[in-house]
Amino acid sequence: MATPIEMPKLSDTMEEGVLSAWLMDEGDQVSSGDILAQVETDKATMDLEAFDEGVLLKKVIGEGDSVPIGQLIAVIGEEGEDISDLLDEGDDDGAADAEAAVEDATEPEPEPEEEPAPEVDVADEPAGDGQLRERTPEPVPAGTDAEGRRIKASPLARRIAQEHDVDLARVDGSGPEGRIVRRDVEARIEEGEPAPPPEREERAPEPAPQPTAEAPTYELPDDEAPYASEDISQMRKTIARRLAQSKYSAPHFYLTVDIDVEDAVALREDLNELAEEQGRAKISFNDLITKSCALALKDHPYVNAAYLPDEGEIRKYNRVHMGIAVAIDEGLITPVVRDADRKGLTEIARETRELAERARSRDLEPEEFEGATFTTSNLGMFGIEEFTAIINPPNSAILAIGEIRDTPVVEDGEVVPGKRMKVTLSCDHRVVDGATGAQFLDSVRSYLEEPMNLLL
Amino acid sequence: MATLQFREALRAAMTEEMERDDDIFLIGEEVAEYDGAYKVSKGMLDQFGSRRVIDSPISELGFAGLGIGAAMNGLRPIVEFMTFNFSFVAFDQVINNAPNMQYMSGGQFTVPIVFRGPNGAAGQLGATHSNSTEALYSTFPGLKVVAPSIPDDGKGLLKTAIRDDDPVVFLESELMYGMKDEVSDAEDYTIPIGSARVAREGDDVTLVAHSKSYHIAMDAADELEERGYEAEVIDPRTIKPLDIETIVESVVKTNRLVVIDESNPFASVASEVTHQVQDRAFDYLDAPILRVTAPDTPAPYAPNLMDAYMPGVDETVDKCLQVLYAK
Amino acid sequence: MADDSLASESASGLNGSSDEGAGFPDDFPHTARLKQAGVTTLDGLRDVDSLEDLKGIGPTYAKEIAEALERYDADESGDTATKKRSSPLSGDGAAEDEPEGPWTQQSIDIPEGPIEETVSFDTYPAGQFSHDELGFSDDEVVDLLRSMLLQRRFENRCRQMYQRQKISGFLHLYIGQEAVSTGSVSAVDLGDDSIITAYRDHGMGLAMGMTPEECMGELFGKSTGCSKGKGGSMHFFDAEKRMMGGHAIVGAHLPLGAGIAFAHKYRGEDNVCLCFFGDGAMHQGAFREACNLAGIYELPIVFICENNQYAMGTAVDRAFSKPDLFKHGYNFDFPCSLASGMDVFSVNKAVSDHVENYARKGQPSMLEVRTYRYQGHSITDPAEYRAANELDQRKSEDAIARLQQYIVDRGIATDGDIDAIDEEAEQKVVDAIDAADAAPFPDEEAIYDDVYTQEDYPFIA
Repeated sequence: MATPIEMPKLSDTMEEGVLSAWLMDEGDQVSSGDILAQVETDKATMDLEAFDEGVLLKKVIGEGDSVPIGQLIAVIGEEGEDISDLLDEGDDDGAADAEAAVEDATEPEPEPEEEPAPEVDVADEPAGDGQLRERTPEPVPAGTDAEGRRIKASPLARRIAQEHDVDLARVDGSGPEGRIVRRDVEARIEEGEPAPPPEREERAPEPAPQPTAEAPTYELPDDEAPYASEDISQMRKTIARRLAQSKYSAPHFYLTVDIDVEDAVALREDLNELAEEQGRAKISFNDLITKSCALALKDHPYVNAAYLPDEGEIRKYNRVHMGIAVAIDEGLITPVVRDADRKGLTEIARETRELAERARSRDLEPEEFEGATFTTSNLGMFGIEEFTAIINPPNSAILAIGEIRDTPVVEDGEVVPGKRMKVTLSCDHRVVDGATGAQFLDSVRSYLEEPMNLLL
Repeated sequence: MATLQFREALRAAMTEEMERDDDIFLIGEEVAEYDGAYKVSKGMLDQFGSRRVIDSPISELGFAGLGIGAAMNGLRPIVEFMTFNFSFVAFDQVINNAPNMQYMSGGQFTVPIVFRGPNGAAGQLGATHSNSTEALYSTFPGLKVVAPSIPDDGKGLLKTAIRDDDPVVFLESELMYGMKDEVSDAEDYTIPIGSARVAREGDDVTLVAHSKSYHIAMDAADELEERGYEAEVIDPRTIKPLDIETIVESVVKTNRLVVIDESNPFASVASEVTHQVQDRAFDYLDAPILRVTAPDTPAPYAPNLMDAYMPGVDETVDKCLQVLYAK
Repeated sequence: MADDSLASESASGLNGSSDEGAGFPDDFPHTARLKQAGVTTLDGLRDVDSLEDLKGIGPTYAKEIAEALERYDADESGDTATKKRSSPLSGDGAAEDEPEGPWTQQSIDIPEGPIEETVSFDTYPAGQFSHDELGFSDDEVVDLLRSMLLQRRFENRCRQMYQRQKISGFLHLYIGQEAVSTGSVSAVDLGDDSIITAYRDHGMGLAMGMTPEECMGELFGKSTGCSKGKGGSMHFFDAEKRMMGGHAIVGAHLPLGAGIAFAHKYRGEDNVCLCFFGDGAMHQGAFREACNLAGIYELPIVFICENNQYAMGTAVDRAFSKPDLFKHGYNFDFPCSLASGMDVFSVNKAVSDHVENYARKGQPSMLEVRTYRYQGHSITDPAEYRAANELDQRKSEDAIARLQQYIVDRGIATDGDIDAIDEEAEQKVVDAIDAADAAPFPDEEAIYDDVYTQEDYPFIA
């Protein structure tokens, strides 16, 4: 069995060694402890000692050659032994790569790089694109002076608030423990500070906010009806801003399809019987839709995309993160089931339920409601037959799901009872054209009408 | 530009200065016949002879003090500590005699000396051989402390340090000696002490890191870029005086700061940067200043423990995401 | 001592030197005769001026012995003791001074023992030297007295000024030791040779010509002080006089002294460094390191231990395993001597010998000067550790009284002249006190002066 001799590490800072002199020849008998050669390290010339017995079969490098630690420099074995495999291996990591290896090695403490995750989370985009940068924060009350609680705000947030005369007591913080940070104050400023509290009314009237597309102002009639006043919550403001922005900037068009869900309903009942027996999570019909959409999106990249005008880029996502709109007391939020195309129905069901529950208890972490690449909204449970939804920016489409209806259908020329569900796709025409949207919907319909495919 | 190892860049600085000024000499353990424990002074004995490249016995207190006395008497010594861990047996000389002489003599005597050598952990060497001394020496007024991270800065700053009339502690790194990079071969290439280098510009978060930690910061910035964040990386290069203006200017822009410093955390460079930034840029901070340092323990030996001991890219990225409120 | 050429030029010819090895090499001729004649070692043999003068050695034997010695000296391999190498710094550079190489030349062949060495040390007792044989004129003798009296008056007034809270901090007085400073300073080229000392530095500063005004100003913390009020009692400096400082960490300035000497040698100057320290400093590692470096680099330095009997409150013979401090220099193959610090002429002669015979020839050496500190270690030390009558007994050997007696005995000056000199010294000190009192404290902004040479250094606000 031949033994490879590799460049040893002979000093604590050595990265490569120069074989300064061979002290034995090919064919010489080698005993453990013999000095094969001398190696010049970065510090000194050191002996290269043999630790094995045998014949020096091959000197792989010559005198004066410099190779990195670990590279093959000689082979010891039995006379006549075939060492071509060892030499081939040596070649592979050999001279051509040696230089690069040395260069790499000179980088101090190279950190193993994680696989570059294509997690292109638009909501996490940095500054330079304020609108995309905004996220849907989970508002946490910062506390008010009136309730004797301290307002937690970053120094920068305090400074910006002071400059813009924003009352921090009226800003919800999105940072750790409800800390008000820059983005919260800036969001407040963008929305316009609500009417100042009464004690401030003595002050000179503030200039009226400039009307903008996102924040139109209205003149109220003189004979305004009596009303109950409510501060606009942070969440409502966010919904208002984002959806207005979406509707304003993304030209919407709508495609509706009526899907035969008889088999899907039956499949779900079968699956849930099984689930009950096995103590697994039950699957909702919405979970079937989520999975169908997720699979269909893989085939229709423009629907799983974002239009980024400032970057001049259409970003087609490699992964499918399904946002699922959930109504909560204060408004709505869209928890995200990541990589839904790769998850089984049971997992989608379990995760969706858990996210929805946590959404209702206001317990979601930002990464759990940010980063959707496509969104669905389901109002079927309210008996809504069909509706159109506003695209959740920066998605390129949203699917509005109506109720499952028992309805007479014509089958083979006969009117029979059927189960149908209407879904409406809102498309951002900047990315999705009519045919693109229609083909996507056709895929969704195929999955739901032949639901066994969802189990594959 | 020439591509040089860090050690070669340092050697070039010393050689050029010694060619220019006969008052400069190099003394330390193994600097002459052995060509330097880390080969920084390789060939210098041959070039300058034993009058100017002088082997010392293992006698740090003695030869550090000898250097200071020679500096008081008009010479410009370069004193090499084989590592700065050994400077502690010369501690009194470095911190009491070198920096105080000018002050206590009412300006009659100056001490133009450079104490140089590798600093900080260098692998599995155990606690006694892994100390980071930059914060310690920066404590003492009268000393200047320089800690470059790339060969080009090493050359330019060492030349400046040798010319400086104040005592300079010049901190190198065993692990960086072999590092190759472009080095200016411009004639009389010097870099001023007390000037930071903005190594990478970005708007989202500021990273401050010197010496080896600088390379961690740069790797972390790459990773942050993949995640969509642009980090600004500042290498202060000089710990004392610290170019706080450049750091503050960056924090005013990014509103966030993470300091990477391989020293133990208590009263470290990271502590000082943190204090000065909150002092000068409090109203620009959108997040607490975080730091990545060695733990508050001696350096271990076992490889896994040593990995955990040293600041890393993952930890740095993690801290950055925290101050970006992205976690 | 290995460097025999120096030894033969020293005052005694055997000063502090040790003979190499035990006896003669096996093949050396006529050793029995040599031993009978009292020559037992090779070094002893080398010191013999005329072999034929030895008992039992005729011209033939003398020739054979001389030839053998020559052969032997040419062939170092037969040497049983390890020779110190000459410092490469002492040559013109590596190229011309390369033959030895960096490898070890010490033998591990252990000779049959025992190895015996004979060491001798020169002494400079009090009352042995007269001013004319040392080359002092009568006027110069009076100057010596003037210098010593100024120190004593100055130090006495310092006690008073401390008690009046004009002086604060630590205050270590030199009273009793004035012959050491004055005798030493008069043995060097003031302004060219360098002197460095410890924290009991007022006397040395004054002896070197620092003015009482700048010294008292410094003690008062005034801007007129020698260090502009930044140094205080323990940190007197005068660059012009080459007073390289009072240094306050015990032992820490010994390597500085080596470095100062190093710079003299590096520049090819003929100047030397006198490095003074107390007996206590010899306990520090710095003493050993400085001596060893001075030895291997062959530095022009005299290590002068000013043994005033107490390191703070610890008597010298309680603290040393080897209380004959001058012998410690032997460990570095230094010529070593012991001198009385109670006679300015003894000190002067000893320092002159060490400077001229050794230091100026690149041979470091050690001189112990035995003296006595009248005051406590510092102004706050009542010195209760002394024996009863100890102080009185020592004062009976007072160096100033001795010099005054010498002057009167020799008719150099009268008692009246001496009183006038004393009054003059006293007046100088009083004037210095008035000047210090009147001088301003440093400006508050001066706190940032002289920290760095860099004028725009950005101090942390």
